[in-house]
Amino acid sequence: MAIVELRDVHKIYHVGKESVHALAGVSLRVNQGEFLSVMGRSGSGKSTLLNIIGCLDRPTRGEVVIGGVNTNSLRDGRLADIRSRRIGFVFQMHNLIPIMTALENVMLPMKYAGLRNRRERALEMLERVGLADRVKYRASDLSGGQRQRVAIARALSTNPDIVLADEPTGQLDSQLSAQIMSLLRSLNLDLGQTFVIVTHDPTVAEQTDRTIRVLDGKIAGEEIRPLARPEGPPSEAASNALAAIMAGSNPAG
Amino acid sequence: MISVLRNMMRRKLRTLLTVLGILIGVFALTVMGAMAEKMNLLLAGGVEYYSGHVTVTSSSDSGFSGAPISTALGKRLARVDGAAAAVPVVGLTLKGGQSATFGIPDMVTGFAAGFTKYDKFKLYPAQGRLIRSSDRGVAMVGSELAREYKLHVGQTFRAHGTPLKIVGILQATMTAPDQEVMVSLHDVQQMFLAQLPPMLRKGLKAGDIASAINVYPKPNVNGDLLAARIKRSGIPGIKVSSPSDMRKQFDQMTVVFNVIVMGSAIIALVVGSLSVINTMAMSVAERVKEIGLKKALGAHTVSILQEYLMEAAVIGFIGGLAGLGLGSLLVNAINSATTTTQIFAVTGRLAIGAVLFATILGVAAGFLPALRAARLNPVDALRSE
Repeated sequence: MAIVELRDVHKIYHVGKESVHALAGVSLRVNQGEFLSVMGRSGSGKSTLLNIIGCLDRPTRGEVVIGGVNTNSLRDGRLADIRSRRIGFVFQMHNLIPIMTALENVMLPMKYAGLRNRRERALEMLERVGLADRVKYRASDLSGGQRQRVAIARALSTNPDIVLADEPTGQLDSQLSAQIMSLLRSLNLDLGQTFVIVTHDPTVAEQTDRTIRVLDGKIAGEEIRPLARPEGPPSEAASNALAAIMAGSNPAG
Repeated sequence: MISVLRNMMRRKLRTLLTVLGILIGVFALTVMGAMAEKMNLLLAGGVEYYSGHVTVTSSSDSGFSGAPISTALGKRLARVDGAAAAVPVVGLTLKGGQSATFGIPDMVTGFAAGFTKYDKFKLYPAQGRLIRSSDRGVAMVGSELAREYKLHVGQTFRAHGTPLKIVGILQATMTAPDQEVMVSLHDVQQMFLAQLPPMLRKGLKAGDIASAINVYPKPNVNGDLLAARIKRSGIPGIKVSSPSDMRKQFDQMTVVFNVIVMGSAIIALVVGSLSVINTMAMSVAERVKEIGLKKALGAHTVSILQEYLMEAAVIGFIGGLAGLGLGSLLVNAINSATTTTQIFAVTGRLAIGAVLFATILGVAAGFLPALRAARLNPVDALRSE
C-alpha cells in the first residue's frame, strides 16, 4: 500500500521576476515500510520534493496523497496535524533546540501531537538510539553524531508513518555516517516505518531499497535493490517491509 | 512555563532592559496612582461627609473660614418645609496660613448638638470619648492629626493659643475628620472670634458665629429639593449648596486626579510597550529557524502564538510586579518620613490594577511580533540562518 503518492506535482517559486520550476511534474509512490533514497545534485529539486511530501510546502499544481488523504484542499492546521502525527523529520543540521536537553528535544513533537507518556516514550527512543546516558545533556553540549541521534529519536518519538531525512549524514564523517545509516536501517526493520532519505552520497544510497534520481525537477531514474537488506533472518516487520517494497517497486507514477 | 523563562534567560541583558522599561512605567503609575488614590479616598469620604445635608453659608463667604454666618438664621432654616434640623458648624484652619496645603488643611471644628444625631456620617472614638456640647477646654482629635502631632488622650494641645485637653482620638475616616481637632461649638466660636481682625470682630458675639449651617432633610425628603426650597424661602445673605452641588465639586476634583493616573498610565504604556515590541521582535527574528523547526515538528500557529504571548506576558508581569514593589517602597518611605498629612495610598485595586495593566501591556505589545512568528512559512523559516 502506498503511504505517499505524488501525482504530477509541480512547484514553481517566484524569485523577483524570475520563476523557478523546482519540481516539474513528479509522480511517485512510496510504499509502507520502504527504505528509499532520493539523489540529485544541489538545486535539482530533491529538498523541495521532501518538503512537499512532509506537508511543509504545498505544490503549485498536482496532487499529494499522504496515507490515503489528499492534502491539496487541507487547511494549514490540518497540515500541521499531519506533520505532527504521521511525519517525522531528520534535518541535515540536526536542528535541535540548543537550550533544551536531549530529553526535552525528543518530547517536543509529542507535545504538539498531544500525546501522553511523553517522558517514558522519549526515554525509550533515546535508549534505542544509544543515548540513555545523555538524556539530561543540553543539545549544545552533545557531539555532532550524538545530536543527529537525538534528532532521529525526536523524529521517531510520535511513531510516525513516514520519516523524512534531509542529508542526515551530510555533516558527519564516514564512520559516524555508517553508524547513523545502520541505526536508521535497524529502526526501519524493527518499527516498520517508511524512510525517505535525501542524499548525494552514493554509499548512503546503496544501503537503501530503492533510489530515485532527481534532475531538473523531474524523476530521471530509479534503482531498485531488494538485496540491500542486511543479512540474517528478517524480523516480522522487516519481512512485511520487504514484501511491501517488492509490491511497490513497479515503475513510479 | 520553564521553557518561557529559559527563553527569556537566553538574552539576559535584553530581558532585563525590557523588564526595566515596564518597571519604570509601572513605578510611575504606582506613585502617581497612590497619590490619586489617597485623594480619591479623601474625596469619596468628602462626598459622604458633605452630601447628606444642605450647606448654607454667608453669601460673602469664599471658603471654609471666610465670613461667618449668624447662628440665628438656624431657626429660620429649620422652619423651611422638609427640614429636620439646622445645625450650626464652625471650622477654622488650625494654623492661620495653612489653608494652601496639599489636600485638606488641618482644621479646628465644632458643631451644635444636633450634628451627631442628624448627620449620616458617624464618628467613632478609637480612644477616649466623643465631644459633648457642654464640654469646655477639651478636644477630640482626628487620627491623622494625632499621628502628626503624636497626641494621646490626656495630653494638652494648644490650638489658636487655647489649651485643650484631649479626651478622645477618632477612628480613621479617610477624609476630613482625620485632620480635625473637634471642640465644642462654644469653644470654637471663641477661637473664631479671636482670630478675626478687630474691624470685623466689632459688634459680633461669639455665640452668634457659624461658618456654615448644615440643614438636614427629614427622612424621605430629597436634599436637593430642600436646597431649592431654602433658596426660594427668601432668607437674605445666604449661599445654598445642595448635596448634588457638593458632589459635583468633589467629582470635578476626582476627575483631576484620575487624569493624573491616566497620564502616568500613558507613560507606562509608551515606555513599556515600545520596549516589549522591540524585545519580542528581536527574539522572533533570532528564533526564526527554531519557529520553522517547531512548525515542521507539528506546532500549530496557535501554539507558536501562545508561546510568544506567554513570554511577553511574563515580562510584563515581572516588570509590573517590580515596578509596584519599588513604587510601594518609595511611597511608604515618603509616607513614614512625612510628619504632615500622608499623601499616598497604595490601595488593593491600584496594586492589582498596575500588575494586570503591565501584563496586558506585555501581551498587547507582544502580539504583533508573536503573530509574525506564528505565521512564518516553515520552509522559509527553516532555510533562514
